[in-house]
Amino acid sequence: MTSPEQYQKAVELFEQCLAMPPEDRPAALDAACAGDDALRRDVEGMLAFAQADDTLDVPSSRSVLDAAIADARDDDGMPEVVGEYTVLRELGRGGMGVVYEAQQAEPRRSVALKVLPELGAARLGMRLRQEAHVLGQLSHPGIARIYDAGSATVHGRSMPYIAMELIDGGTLDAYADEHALSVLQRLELIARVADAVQAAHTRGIIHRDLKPHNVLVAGQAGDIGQPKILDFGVARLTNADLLVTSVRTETSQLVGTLQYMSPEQLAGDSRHVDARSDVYALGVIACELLTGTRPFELEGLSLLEAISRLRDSQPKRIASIDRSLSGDVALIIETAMAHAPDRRYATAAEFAAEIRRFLRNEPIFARPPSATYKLGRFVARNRTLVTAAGVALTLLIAGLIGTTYGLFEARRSEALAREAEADAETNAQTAEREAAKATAINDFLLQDLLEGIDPARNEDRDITMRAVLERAAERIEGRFDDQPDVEVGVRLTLGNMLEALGQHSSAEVQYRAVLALQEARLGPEADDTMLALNVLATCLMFQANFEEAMPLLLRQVEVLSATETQEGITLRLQALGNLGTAYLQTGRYDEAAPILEQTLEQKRAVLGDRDLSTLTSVLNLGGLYVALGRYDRGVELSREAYEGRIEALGAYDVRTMRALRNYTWALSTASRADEAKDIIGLGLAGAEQRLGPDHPTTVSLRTQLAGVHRELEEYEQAEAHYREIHQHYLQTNGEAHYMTLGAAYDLGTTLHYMDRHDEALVLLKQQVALEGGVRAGHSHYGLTLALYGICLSKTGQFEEAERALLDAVELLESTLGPGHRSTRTAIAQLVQHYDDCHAAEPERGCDAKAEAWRPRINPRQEPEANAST
Amino acid sequence: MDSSTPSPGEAFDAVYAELRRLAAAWWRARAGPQTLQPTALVHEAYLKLAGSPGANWRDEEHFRALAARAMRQALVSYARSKSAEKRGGGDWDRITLSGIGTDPGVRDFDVLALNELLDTLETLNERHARVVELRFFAGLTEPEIARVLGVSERTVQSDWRAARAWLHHRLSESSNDES
Repeated sequence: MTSPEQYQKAVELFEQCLAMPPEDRPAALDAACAGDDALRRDVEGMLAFAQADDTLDVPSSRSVLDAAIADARDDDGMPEVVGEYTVLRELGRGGMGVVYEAQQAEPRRSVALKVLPELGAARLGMRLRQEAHVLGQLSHPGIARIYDAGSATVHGRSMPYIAMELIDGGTLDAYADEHALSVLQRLELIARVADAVQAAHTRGIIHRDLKPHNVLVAGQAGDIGQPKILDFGVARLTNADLLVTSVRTETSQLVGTLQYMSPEQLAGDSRHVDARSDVYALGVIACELLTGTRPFELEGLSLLEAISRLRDSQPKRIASIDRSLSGDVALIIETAMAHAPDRRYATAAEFAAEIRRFLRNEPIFARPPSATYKLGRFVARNRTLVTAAGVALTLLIAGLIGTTYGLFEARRSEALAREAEADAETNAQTAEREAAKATAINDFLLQDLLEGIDPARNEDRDITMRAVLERAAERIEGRFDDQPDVEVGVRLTLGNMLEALGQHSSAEVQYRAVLALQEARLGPEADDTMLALNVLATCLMFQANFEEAMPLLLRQVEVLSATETQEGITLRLQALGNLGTAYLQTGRYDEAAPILEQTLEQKRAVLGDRDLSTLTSVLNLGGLYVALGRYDRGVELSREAYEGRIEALGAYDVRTMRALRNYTWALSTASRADEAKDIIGLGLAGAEQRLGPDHPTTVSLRTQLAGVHRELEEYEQAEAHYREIHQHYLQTNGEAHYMTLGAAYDLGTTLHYMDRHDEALVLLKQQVALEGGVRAGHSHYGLTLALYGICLSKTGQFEEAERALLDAVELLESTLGPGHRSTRTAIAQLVQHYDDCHAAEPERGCDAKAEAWRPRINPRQEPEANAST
Repeated sequence: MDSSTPSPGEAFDAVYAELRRLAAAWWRARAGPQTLQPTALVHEAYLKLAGSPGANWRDEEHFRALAARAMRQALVSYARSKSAEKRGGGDWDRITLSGIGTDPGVRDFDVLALNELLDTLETLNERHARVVELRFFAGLTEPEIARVLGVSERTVQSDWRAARAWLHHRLSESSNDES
C-alpha cells in the first residue's frame, strides 16, 4: 500500500522530472529512487502518461467531460417496422431521438417518424396519443402536421414515437443561404415563421425549442418559401424541456440550443415560460438569419458558463454586428429578444405585424427607450421621491397637454379646411382667431396647472395629478366670460385629461358646462352642440349611467337623422353605436343586436375598417356576441378591436386597455383562460406603468387576471392579486362599497379553495357583520353567508355552519329563486356540510338532513321534494 | 474536511435525488445512440433545482461541489446494482467512462475501479482527490475549482496533472493485471 508520504514523494519527483528534458530523467530517477522500486514504477507510469499527452495541456473540462461512456454509443440499428409504420430510411438524429422516413399503411402515406428515447412509464404511450390528438388539430400551413403518436416495441423495448408530416425542404438557415434570399425576403420568411408560431399560440401550445433546425422550408428556386415548424408541442408532450436534449447531446450542441432559450427558460422555472419565450427565440432566429451571427458569444464555454452568460449579460447590439441593420430592423429584433418578457412583443403576431410594417415602409411601434420611457421607469421605482420633487408630475402634465391639445388641433384644422372652401377672406380671420384661441387655452393650462404646483408647499408634496386638474377647473369659472370658445376648449381639454385619469365624474362636470355653453351660443341642433352631447353621453356611459345617457343619445340620433355631411353622418353612427351599447350594457340584448350590427356595417362602409369609431362598434358587437354565447365570433371581433386600437393608438392608450379588457374577458368566457392570462398579464404590467396602480383600468385588469388565475387553479397568484384589489377599494371606496365587498368575497373564496379556512374565516366574519348591515336583503349577502358557512363547517364548527348555510339558502331562494345556480350551489354546500358533519360526529344525525336536502340540489330532475329541516 | 467541502445534508440529498433520477432516466433511454456525460446531468440537475424554493446552497460552485460528490455516488451505486444484477449471467455491462486519458491503450475506465482508486487517493492526498472529483464529475473549470477549494489556479493545475497521471498509471496497471 502506498502511504501519503510515498504519494507525496512520487508527485514531487514527477513534477521535477517534468521540468527537465526527458533525456535527463533516467539519471534523476536513479538518484532519487535508490532502492525504492515501487516509487520508481509509480513515477515512470505517471510520466509515461504525461508523455503520451505530450503537451501536458490540461484538457478543458469539455474535452474530458464531453467524453462519454464508450459502450453507450452502440446502436441497435434501424428498425424495420415501428408499430404500423414500415421504416424506409433514416433521415437524421438529434437531441430528441432518431427520425425515419416511413410508410403508413392506412391511410397510405409517407411520414416522418420520430422515435423518442424510452421514457419509462407505460402510460406514456396513452398520454402521447391524447396529446397527439390535440396537436393533430393544429392545422396550419406553417406547422408540420402531427398525425399520430403512441408507443411501439422497437428492439425489444417499448419506445414512444410520433408520426408527422414528411417535409421536403431544407432547414431555415440552409434554405435562406442556398436560395440567396435578400434581407427583405429573409424578413418576410421570419414573419411567416412567426405567423405559424402564433397559430399554435392561439391554441395554447408553446414550442419552447424554436431554432433554425426545427424549421424546414419548402420552396422553389427564387421563392421566399413556406416554412414548416417541426416538433410543435413536443417539448410539452415529453414533459421535458431539457432532459432528453441534454443527456443525449454533446455539450457543444446543447450550448448551441441554449442560444434560443429565453432567460426565463434558463432560470428553469417552467411556470414563467409562455408565448413570449417563443417570441424571444424568434428574435434570436431573426438575428442569426439576418446577420449570420448569433447574439451571444458562447464559443468554448462550458454549459454553465454559457448559461450564466445568457442569463446575466446583454446580447450583442445588432448594429454592432451589421451596421446596415442599425435602424428599425435592429430595434424589432432587440425588442423580441428583450431580457424581460414584458418588454418583448406580447405575441408572435405582433412581432410579425411589426416586420411587415417595416416591409411596407410604415413606422414601427417599438421605440428605443426614450427619455419619457426612462422617466416612467424612474417614477415607478421612486414614486414618492418623484412626487415630492414634482418634476415628473410637471412633465406628465406637459405630455398630456401636448397629446390632448394635439387632438383638438387636428379637429380644428379639418373645420378650417372646410371653411376655406367657402370663403377665403374669412378664412384668414378664422385662422387668426383659432390661433389666438389655441394660445389662450394653452396659456391657461400651462400657467394654472404647472405654476400651480409648488413643491416647496407642504400639501403639494404628495399632490396628485387629479388634484392639480381639479384645482385648475375651479379657476375657470368667470375667467372667460367674453371668450366662450376658449372656455369650451379649456373645459374639453380638462375633461379629457380627467377622463384619461379615470376621473369620469369630475370630467362630467366639465362636459355638462361645455354642453350648456354650446347650446346657449350655437343652438340645440348645431354640429358642435351635437359633439358636446356626444362627449357628455360617452362620459355618462363610462360611469355606467346608461339611464341618463340614453335620452341624450336618442336626441342625437334624431337630430342627425337627416344630416348629409360627412361629419354629421359619422356623429350619427357614433350615437347609434352608443345607443346599441347602452342597450347591451343594460342587458337589453334583443334591442342591442340589430342596432349594433347595422351600425358596424355602416361604419365599415362609410369610415373603413381601421377607423376608431368602427373599432368601437367592433368591440361592442364582439361583447354582445360573447354575452349571447356566440364565442368564436365574439372572440374574433374582440381581438380585431384590440389589435386595431393598438395600431391606431398604441398599446397603452386607455382605449386600447379597454379593448384588451374586453378581449380577455371574451377569451375567459369562451373558456380560453390560458390565452387570456398571458394577454392580461402583459396589459396589466403596461397599465401599472403607464396609468398607475390605482387607475380603474389597472384595477379591472388585475381583477380579471386574478379571476383567470383562479380558474386555472393558480390560487397563490390569485390570492396576491385579490389582496391588492381589496386594499385598493378599501382605500378609495371604503369598506362598505360594493366593489370592496366583492373583492373581499373573491379573496375569501380563493382562501377557501386553498383550504385555508381559518384565514378565510377571519376575513368572512368581518364581512358577514358588515354586509348584514349594508346589504342584508341582497343576494350577494347570501353568497357571503354561504361561503362563511362552508368555511365554518370545514373547521368543525358545525352548529354555526348550519345556521349560516340555512340563512344563505333562504336568502338566495327568495332573491334569485330556487332554480338559480347560486342557490343550488349553496344547497350543495349545505349537503356537503351535513355529510362532513355526519362523518365527524354521527350522533348529530346530520345524515337524515343531508338526504332530505340532497334532491333540492337539482330540483328540475327530481320531483318536488318534501324535504324540510 | 476543509470548510468548502459540502457536508452531507438536506442540500446534498436533494441534489443526489435529482441526479439519481436523471441518471436513471438516462440509462433507461440507453436504447438509442447516446453518450453519457456526467456534466450534462449535473447541469440538468442544476437547472432543475436552481429555481426550487428549497435551494439552499450558497452559489453555483457550492452546488457543483455537492453535485460532484453526488454524481460520483450515483454512478457508483448504479454500477454496483448493474454488476449485482448481471453477475449470474456473466456478461454484465461494465460501466465505463472514457476519455480521462489520451493513451489509446487505456481508453475506458471502470467506474467502480475509478471509484476505488479515488477512495485510495483521498487517503493519500485529499485535495488531489477533490480536484479530480470536481473536474471529472461536475465539469468545473480550473478557476472554479480554485475558488471552491480556496487555492490558487496554479495549485489546481499541478494537482490535476499529478493526480490524473497517478490515476491513469494505477488504472492501466490494474487493467494490465487483469489481462
